Amino acid sequence: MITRGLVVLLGLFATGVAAAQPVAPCPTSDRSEQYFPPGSAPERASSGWRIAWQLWPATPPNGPAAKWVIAGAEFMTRGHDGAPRWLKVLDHLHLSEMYVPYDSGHELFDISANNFSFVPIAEGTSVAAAAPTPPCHHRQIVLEEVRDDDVRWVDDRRASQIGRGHELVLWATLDGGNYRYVVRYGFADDGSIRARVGATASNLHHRRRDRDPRAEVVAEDDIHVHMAGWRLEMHLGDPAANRVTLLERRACSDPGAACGTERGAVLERRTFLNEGSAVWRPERFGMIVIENGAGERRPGYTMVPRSAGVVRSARPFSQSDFWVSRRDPQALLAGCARRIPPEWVFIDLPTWQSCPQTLVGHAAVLWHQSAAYHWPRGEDFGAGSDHRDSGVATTAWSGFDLIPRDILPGTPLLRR
Amino acid sequence: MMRLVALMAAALMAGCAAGDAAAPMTAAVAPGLGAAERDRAIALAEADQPGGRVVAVTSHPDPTRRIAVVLRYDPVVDLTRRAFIDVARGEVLRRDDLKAYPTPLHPEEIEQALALARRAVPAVETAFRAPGGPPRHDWVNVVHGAGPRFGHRLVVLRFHHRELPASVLVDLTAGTAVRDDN
Repeated sequence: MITRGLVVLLGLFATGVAAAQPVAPCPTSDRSEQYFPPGSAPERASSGWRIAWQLWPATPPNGPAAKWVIAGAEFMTRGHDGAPRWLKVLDHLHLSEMYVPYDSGHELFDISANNFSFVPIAEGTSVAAAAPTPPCHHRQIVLEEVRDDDVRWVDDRRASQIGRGHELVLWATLDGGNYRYVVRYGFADDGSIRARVGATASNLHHRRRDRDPRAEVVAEDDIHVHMAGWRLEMHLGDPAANRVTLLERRACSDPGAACGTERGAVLERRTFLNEGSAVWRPERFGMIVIENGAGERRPGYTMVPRSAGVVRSARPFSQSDFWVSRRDPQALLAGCARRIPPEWVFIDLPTWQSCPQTLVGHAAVLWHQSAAYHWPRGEDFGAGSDHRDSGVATTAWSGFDLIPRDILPGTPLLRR
Repeated sequence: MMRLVALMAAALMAGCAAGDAAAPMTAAVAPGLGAAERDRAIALAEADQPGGRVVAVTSHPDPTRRIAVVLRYDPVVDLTRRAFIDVARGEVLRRDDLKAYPTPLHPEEIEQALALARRAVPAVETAFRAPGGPPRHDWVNVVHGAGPRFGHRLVVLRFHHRELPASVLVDLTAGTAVRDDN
């Protein structure tokens, strides 16, 4: 009798970390609140986050897989008068799909087609002792940490003074058969949000050593891509008043760019008035901005892809990198097949968008694919072994950043 | 002038925050289906279009309605049949026939895959008959979106046993099983 139970959940062991802190239960469940700088009381903090989430279980017997849904995120900053101002940034964010096309032709849909669940944190799990506030866990599934977030800025006016950032990090690990997916959300003190998924664990196949290193074409069955399909809904005060726009830097040497003769480049905007999709062009620094309202200063967030590349396959959903759909589509449209609110499945996006509806005055859902490429290497295996179970592939990340735009009153952490 | 711009910006920020004060922290999501709703949805889907085995019944997250999504796999035509059912109204809202769709496996399909692997790969059969019970194994649901296996129902069986191939690819549509370990 085959059962998924035969797959031993390896858990998460943070080995090799000196003087690590043990992880204790968090004071709340499925909810986090963090103020910055770390250790600040809410009334004295310069910024903060309140996050709520839900764990949706896998569907028995064999899927779809479990989902971890960020069901609300609010950011606090202070206005010029020093008073706290809370803004609900997110209504919804989750990893909707993990599409894994192999060079062999195999395609895995680790979320749609399998019953994978989030793995419990293994006994003995610990994190680095340098964390400024104690780490904790929620229901043995979601880990909460506060981390140093590197150099936020260097002030050229004040002897190169450094502003150092912090972020609240929530992460959990989805079982993916031979793989484990580390799903991680970072909520930084400057209002940024970072969504990442990291693919790790054992390869599907053993390692082969008999390939011709001089060959120009490598045909290894185990080469594959991990394409994450993300789904998010921004709030920003009034979701129906949000506008979603593709921004691209167009060099004036680019045919078709609407430039004057003396310019080097222009920033082009294409607002989604209807449901639709767009390709990410890194050579144009392609990004999506979600803005609220119609004034000159429109608070918003910019979505910046963090991807090694993109997936293009015979699957229609892979032909675009950004999709925008309506949160509350009309059930019936003249000339269109009967339609219901789209199911929250990334791979069905082209089907649901066959009759695009207007987004003007309606809340939008933004979908994005991010991808990591895995060309197996010796380090994926144990010392002296080609057996796939002898080692683990180190984590390969992809995702996106959400960067605030005209949300904070000025440069974060800077006091002049 | 700069001060005026700053004041205007602050006023806009304040408006933004004030308009948000009543926003609920957690998005509303429809609760999962009860057993009776699930049974009703399956019955409605099968009455609307017979055929196939039910592999998954999920609830649509729309909180304003009770919608079930019934997925069946029909091996006779190698199609996934998907039906959206308004459980409260007893109405089929939409149905799709999907080729090469990533549809979860039925437990009987996994048993069938294992039987095919044992029949086609002697080492697998030997290992299953050896003292100590079946070798440790698991499975992965695989689809091909193009090529000769387009739309076939495929399972990769993975064996964690030194004497066995790493993987066996079972094509349930073709009724074949081959080593899949490079």
